[in-house]
Amino acid sequence: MIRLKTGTGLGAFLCVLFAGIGNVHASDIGGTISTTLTVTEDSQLVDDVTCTVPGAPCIAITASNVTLELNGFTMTGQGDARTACNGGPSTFPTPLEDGIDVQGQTDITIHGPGLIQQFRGPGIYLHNSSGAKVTGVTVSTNCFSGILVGGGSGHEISNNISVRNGNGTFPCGGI
Amino acid sequence: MFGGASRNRLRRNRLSGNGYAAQGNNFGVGIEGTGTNDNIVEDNTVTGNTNGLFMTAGVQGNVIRQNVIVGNPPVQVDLDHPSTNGVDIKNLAQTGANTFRGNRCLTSVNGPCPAVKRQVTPP
Repeated sequence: MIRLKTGTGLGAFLCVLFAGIGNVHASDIGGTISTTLTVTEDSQLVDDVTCTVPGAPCIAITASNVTLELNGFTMTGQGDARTACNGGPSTFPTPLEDGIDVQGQTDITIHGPGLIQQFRGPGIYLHNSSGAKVTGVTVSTNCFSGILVGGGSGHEISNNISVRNGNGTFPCGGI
Repeated sequence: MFGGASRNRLRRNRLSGNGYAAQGNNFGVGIEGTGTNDNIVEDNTVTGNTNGLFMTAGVQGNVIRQNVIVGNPPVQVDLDHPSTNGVDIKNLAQTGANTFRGNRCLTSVNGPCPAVKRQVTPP
């Protein structure tokens, strides 16, 4: 997506429009995301994000050396640990319905401040990746761990706040 | 962390209110599964979770230092769900397989608690 210099209203509209079609190389992200948004270049949130992607990640970072700036905005999914996650997961779902998904990449940076909340999966899922930096992010009321690290190595996860995540079936929690 | 996640550093995070009482192995920080080794968990504040730090059998080489891990679970969970048996540090790994240094904690399974004095240790 081309970085927008237009007014906030038009920018938000176009972000919603582009986010809705999914699989674009995002730069500026905001509005409603209804199919997984694939990010392959440095990107940033320019507005709050509402995710309606069923059974898949909201944002998937699919290239190495990418930075995602949250810029103080909020990403909201479709589950809530406070209300038993719409019944809660009974089996380990694949793929997870997570907020930000990083699989098999190196040197990804996810930079807060920003809030990632109410996803049926983890807020952030780093799997089989290496050298990621996740800093200054708040993850809350997600139905798996706030930040989940599966395999991989060399991550720096610092200065984050992880609160009220979890479910009643699988061992999970903050990080 | 699970599935062989290794050589990661968790530093200066604040983790609270995580986990369901019905899932007694929920946690603030989790180190789980074979090969999840050689991670550093330092300078974190971990309070009010089902368990503070949860380590499964078989993990090794992890260094847990200079954390404040207290109040896990909160007293109302202890009172309302006594079967949860949550603690500040639940270490199911072999004794001595991981390093605990300079943490403040009060309750544990196979962990060095209570420890109320924060020690200065070299990085």
